[in-house]
Amino acid sequence: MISKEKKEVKFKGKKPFKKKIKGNIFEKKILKKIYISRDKEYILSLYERDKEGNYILKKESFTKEEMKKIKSIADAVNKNSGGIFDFTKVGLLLVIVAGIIIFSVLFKNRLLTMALKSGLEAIFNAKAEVQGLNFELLNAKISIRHLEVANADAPMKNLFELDKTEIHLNSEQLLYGKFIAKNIECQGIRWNTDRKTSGALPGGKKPSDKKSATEEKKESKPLLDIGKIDVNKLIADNKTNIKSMALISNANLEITSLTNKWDDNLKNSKKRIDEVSKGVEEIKKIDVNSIKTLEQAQQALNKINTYVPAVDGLKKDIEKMGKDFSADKQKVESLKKNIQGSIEGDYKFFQSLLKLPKGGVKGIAISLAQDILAKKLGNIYYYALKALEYSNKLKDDKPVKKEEKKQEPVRSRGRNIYFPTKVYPRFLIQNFAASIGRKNENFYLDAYLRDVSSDPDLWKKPTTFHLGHINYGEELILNGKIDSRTKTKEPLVLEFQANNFPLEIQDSLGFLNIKYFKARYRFRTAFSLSKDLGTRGTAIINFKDIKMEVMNKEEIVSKIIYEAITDAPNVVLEINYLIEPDGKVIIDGKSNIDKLIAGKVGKILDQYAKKYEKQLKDYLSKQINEELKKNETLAKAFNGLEDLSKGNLKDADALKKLLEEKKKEINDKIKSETESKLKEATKNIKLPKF
Amino acid sequence: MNIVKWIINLIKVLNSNQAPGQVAGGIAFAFMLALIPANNLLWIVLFIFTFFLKIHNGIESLFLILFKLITFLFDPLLDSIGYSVLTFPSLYNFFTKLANVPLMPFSRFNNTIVMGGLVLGVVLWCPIYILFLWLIKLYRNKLKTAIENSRLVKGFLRLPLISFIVKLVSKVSSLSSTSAR
Repeated sequence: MISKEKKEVKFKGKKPFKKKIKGNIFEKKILKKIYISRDKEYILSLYERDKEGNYILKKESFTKEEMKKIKSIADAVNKNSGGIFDFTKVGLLLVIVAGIIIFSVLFKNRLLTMALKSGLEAIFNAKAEVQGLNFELLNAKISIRHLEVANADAPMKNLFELDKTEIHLNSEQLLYGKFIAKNIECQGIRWNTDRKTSGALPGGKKPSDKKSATEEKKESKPLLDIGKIDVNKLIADNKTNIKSMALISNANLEITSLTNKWDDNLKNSKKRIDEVSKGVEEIKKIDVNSIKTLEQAQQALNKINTYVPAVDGLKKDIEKMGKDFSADKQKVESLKKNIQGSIEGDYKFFQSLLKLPKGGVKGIAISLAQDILAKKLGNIYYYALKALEYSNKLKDDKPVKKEEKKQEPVRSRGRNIYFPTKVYPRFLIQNFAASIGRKNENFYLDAYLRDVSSDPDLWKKPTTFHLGHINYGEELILNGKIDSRTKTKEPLVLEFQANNFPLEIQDSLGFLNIKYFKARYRFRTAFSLSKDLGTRGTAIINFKDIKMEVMNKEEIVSKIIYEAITDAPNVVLEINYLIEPDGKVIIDGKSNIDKLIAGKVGKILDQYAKKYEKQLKDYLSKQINEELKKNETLAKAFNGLEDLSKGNLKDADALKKLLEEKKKEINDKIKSETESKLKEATKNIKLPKF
Repeated sequence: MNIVKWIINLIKVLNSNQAPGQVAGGIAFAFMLALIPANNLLWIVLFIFTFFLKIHNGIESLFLILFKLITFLFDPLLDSIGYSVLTFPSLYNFFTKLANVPLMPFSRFNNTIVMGGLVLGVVLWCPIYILFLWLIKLYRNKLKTAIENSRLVKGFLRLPLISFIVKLVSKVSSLSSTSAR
């Protein structure tokens, strides 16, 4: 057992221990790296120095235990030598980093291209081609230069094709849970384009002959036709909107009730006057000249005084009644005024329904522009308001402070010192762009949306957008700005242009004797929305390539209009419009052909207008006349009561006056009698002499 | 049991041929990491960085835990140091630029405790390194033999639990020098 343990093994060398080591290397690189003095002594005991100063291993074989010890010391020496970095770990890290770089440079995009291609092919069952795919993980960006997918039903056609497509997010802000899209772009969207090679997949399904073609029948609203207005029907359809009828009926009821009330009151009052008058008759009979003594005078005065309170009370009551009556009379007058106002209002309402184009040529301009404005501007305004609404919805609500769980930290949290940094909102799309088709093609659409943010105040930029659309020469351009910032003055600014659009009006310009009107038009407008959500603006419409036919070329109005419009190289309309918050467009305008036809056509139109207005007035008057008459009779009856009221007051005054006169006469009598008695008395008195 | 392992590890390292600089470096880094609060990118980066250095990571982890137990006492000092550094006018532009560097906000360098911990950790790194280097050398050259030969230690080592630990240490460590003799 002992001989087995002591069996020696030949030493083959273990770095840094070799059979022969140079003196300086042994001392600097080996002995200095051994920190246990016993180990140092042990290693020194294994070597001996030659004449040249080299260290030579004393023996060539060692026991297993000795070998184990040498190996452990050798490991420690190796560990302790070298720089401050652990190059094994650094090397491993470098290998991993290099691997990632090599993978991302050489294979990442290829693998993703293959994955996308096979995914698209599996979905659409046709060949897909992906070119220029670039994925940057750290930059959170993926872009494709070109992508096309064939149509499985028509292999020589593409189902769709995309040019530059890119999604680029802010990777750093993603870590904060914020969605910041620097760019979302999809250019050159096309479909049904030709392919040079078949797009069918080997073993794919056979193409079908499905055709999908749906055409919507366009309905155009007839424009104003002044020759076909049915006034009676117009009033019958809107009978519920006639306010004056109900107002007159209510007023009549009130006047009747007031008349009855005052009739009773005044009759009762008259009755009281008559009763008091009977008593007062006795006073009338008193002959002051027949009164001889003071006692008789005093008796007459007492008699008069007994009637004074009754007459005073009566007078007061009648005066109060008179005041109340005047108040009710004013009420009746105001009811009458309201009725008049209401009748005027009803008339204006029906007049507005007629939309009579007063002023001749203005009617032409508005009629021509109405269709364009109602369709284009109304829709744009509606969608712009929707966009404004969504933009406001997108805004962050005021942050609600979450109640943090109170934990007593062992360590202090310290203080945060803030430095100015670019702070992003929770949600932001800096650029979203897309285009369908290519420029110079018959069909092209391009659009962008920029700076859509959940906190526009923080981002300090309004949302801007653009839409451009070309469809076989017809061009539509819409540029806008939606500003949801708190201190904004203009929440919405829009510029709209429609070029080369066709306009065709048939059978609806009959009042101008125009059979049909055809032209191409250019429409330009710009407006901004104020905070009360109403807007005014001006639009310019140019008509060109005008083709029209009048009903009768010999007729004077037709001739004037035909010549004015066809002779002008361009008909330009300037339209002032008001868009109400509900999207209703109210317009007014003028054109460059006004001067030519204004006077003559205007007169005719005014005649029509007057005719219908008279018709309307007559019909309305007839409808409310009966009630109105009743109202007048009642009002007259009520006013008649006023005479009765005044008569009562007069009677009361007469009674009072009578009593006062009699009272005065008797008082005068008493006075004169007293004076004569006094004189007599003084004569008989003898005064003492001094 | 973990504490026993750590003690064994510490004794093993102190008695092994491990370079004193590597051990002292591990302790100096542990002190720096203990001063900086751990919930930020700076701490994580520093901690990972030390794994690529030739320092004793076991000792570093052990001392990190030990220092963590007392570093809260330094917080008022760290707060005032951090505040002074972060509000130092000449450094304002530098910190503003730093705040705008991607990912830098995750380092929470703008926190007074983090900045104070970093600054004090860097400043005290050398003194702590030198101190522990001297202590290790002192232990290995002088104290170790004196401790081993003292009667108190010999008596202490005879205690059943301690003799068990010593056996355990001899088993796992490479204190071959004593066993070989």
